[in-house]
Parts: sequence; structure tokens; C-alpha cells
Amino acid sequence: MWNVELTGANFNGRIVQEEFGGSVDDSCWFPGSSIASQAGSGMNTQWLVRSDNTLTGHGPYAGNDGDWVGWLEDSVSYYRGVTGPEYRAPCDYNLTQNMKINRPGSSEVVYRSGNVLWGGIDQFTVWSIRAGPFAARNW
Amino acid sequence: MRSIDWLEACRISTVAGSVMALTCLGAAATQARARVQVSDPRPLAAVILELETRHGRVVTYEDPVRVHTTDIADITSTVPPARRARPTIVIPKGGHFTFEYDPPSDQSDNSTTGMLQTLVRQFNLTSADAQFRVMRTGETYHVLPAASRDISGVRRTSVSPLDTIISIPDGTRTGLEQLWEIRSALRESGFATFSLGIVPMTALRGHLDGVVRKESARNAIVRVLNSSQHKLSYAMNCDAGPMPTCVLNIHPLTAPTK
Repeated sequence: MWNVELTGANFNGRIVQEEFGGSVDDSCWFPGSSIASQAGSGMNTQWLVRSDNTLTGHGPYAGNDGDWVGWLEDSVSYYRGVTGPEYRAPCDYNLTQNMKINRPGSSEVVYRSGNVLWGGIDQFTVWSIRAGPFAARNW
Repeated sequence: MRSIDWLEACRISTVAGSVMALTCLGAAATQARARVQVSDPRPLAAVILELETRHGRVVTYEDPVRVHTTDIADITSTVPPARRARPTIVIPKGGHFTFEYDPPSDQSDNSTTGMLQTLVRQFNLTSADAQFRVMRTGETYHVLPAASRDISGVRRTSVSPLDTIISIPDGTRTGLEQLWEIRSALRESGFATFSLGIVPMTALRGHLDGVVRKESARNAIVRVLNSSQHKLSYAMNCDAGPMPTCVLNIHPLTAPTK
């Protein structure tokens, strides 16, 4: 999970919402895979900007203090072939994300377009990228 | 040639992957007929996904166990040798399926039930493989396996892992935490590789009372979905072959509606 912090001004109390940016590719998925494609996972989380400019889940998304990029552990096992029929790893998925923020008294605006969310599975590691920053761990 | 003429009278749009959706107005018809045409390893699941999108109703899907040689496809040759974890890689054979139906005239339960019963009836008539049935719990419709062929080709009653009666201790949990509990309960009940696949994690952060007392795993999952402020559905897909890995995938139908 990635913690997100806005910069450039204080946006305390504003609402941020993600939307699908129009591009998705899941190289782990194959026809017949029991794991669904990441293409259908949905993307419409809303966050409230805290006084320190970090994001916390808003409304129906309460409890989400960040942005998830990656796989659940069962999917990692499946694509490594531990429990599944096919050894797919190393493989990855990536999709694009637009970020919007509301403006009091005006219409909302897209402040970031085409963020790349990228999650991958290697033989011994899993990794995640959100709009540039990279993180990996042994798993 | 006739079928081509008819197709040309239809509005064609590619929906996703192998699904082609056609809305047709026959020359002599007074009522619009709808059509979903798929080619997929799990054709019924693909049609259901399209119907959910079109009609906004939650319709879940559960795979049968497929073990007979004519119901599974060996795709080993399509996988590079370095990527093969097993000597043989098999998936559901699937195939083409076309569903033609009168769109529900309204959002009533009778209309939806009728559409799904028509779907299952048409599929069962054309399928030499598995047979399905329709069930409903509350606002959620389920398309469940009813029968599939055993290793010798004899059709047998099919039971879904989600028919398993489970119990889960008291506790307030997030929807995602509750799904892990359900997964553990199913693994302890004999489905040792039951797995969680793609899950909209941000939609499952709300809390619910997690106690489950001798209920089907299906009911427990539906309660998790209903606890979300999003309209969620699931497909439980199973690998081909005996003792398959079955995977629960959850997907949102729309933006928040509650």
C-alpha cells in the first residue's frame, strides 16, 4: 500500500478521487486462468485530504489510508505455479490512473494524468510501483 | 449467408476480450432481441459478466469441477518450457456460446430470474460439459454448477466448494479480513488450495460482524459483499482436473450506490 501526500499548497478538506486512465495490461493472466484479469478490478476510490496533506479514505472508502498496488499472496502463489496450473512468473500488470481533486465553488480538476500503477511477481520477490517510486520485498 | 444478413442488421460492439455484444432488431420483429456471443474457456461466466454490466444486477458464477478429457484443454505446448511448473497444463476447454434473449422489461426480480433461467436452460441444452442452475439469496443471483462429467464421462451431481457449511468465531472485521477467515475455513474443510484472487481491496475496508454459525460459505461471502457500500459480485473459477485450485475473484459492478 502506498501512502500519498499532496504538495504545492495546503489542500486540507478537499476530496481526491482516482479514475481509470485508459490503459491496462496484465501479463500474468492467460485465457483459462482461475485468477481474474486485473482489468476488471475497478478504480474509483475517494480520499479526504488531511491537514498534513496526506490522504485518508473518504465516505464508503473509510479505512483506506493509501493506494493499493499489487497482488494478494494467493495470486502470487498461483502465478508461481505453487498451487496453479501454469508457471507464469516473472510477470506483471500495469494500468494508468488519473487523479482528480474537487474545487470549492468550481468543478473538479484532474491534477495528475496517467499515473502508472505497476505490480510484479518474480521467483523470489514481489514489487510495486506507483507513479514512479518503487518498492520490493522478498516473498 | 442468411446469418450474415442478420448480423449486418445488428449493432455490434466489442465489449471485452472475447465477448461480442450485439443488439439486434430483426426485420420483422417488433421487440428488440438482445444477444451475447462469446468464445471463452468459461463461456457461461463470460456471458454473466456481460449481463451484469448491461442490467446492473449482481449475478455470481461458480465453476464446476472438470476432469473428463473432453472437457479440458491441454495448453502445455503454448507455454514456454522454462515456465512450466508441471508437465501438463490444462484449463477448461470451453468454447463458443450465443445467448439470445428478450431484455428484462423492468428491474423486477421476476424479470431477472426469468432471464437467468432462460440463459441456463439454453446453455444446458448446448453443453455436453457441465450443467448449471440458478439460485437466489436476497438481492443476489447465483449461477451454480448442477452436474459435470466424471473421469469416465458419466454425468454426476456437482457440488461447489461454496456449499460447504462453515463456522467462524465472533469478531468485528473488515470485509477483506472476513474473506481471509472464509478462505481459512474452507481450507480446513478440505479445500486445501482455495484462494483469493482479484479483490477490490478499497471496497472491502468497512467493518462487519464476522461471526458465522454453520452457514454455507456462499452465504458468508454474500454477507461480506453486502457489507460494502459498493455493488460487488464474484466469480469462483476452478482449474481443470481433479482436486483443482478454486479462486474467488470479486469485482465491482458500478460506482458506490448506497
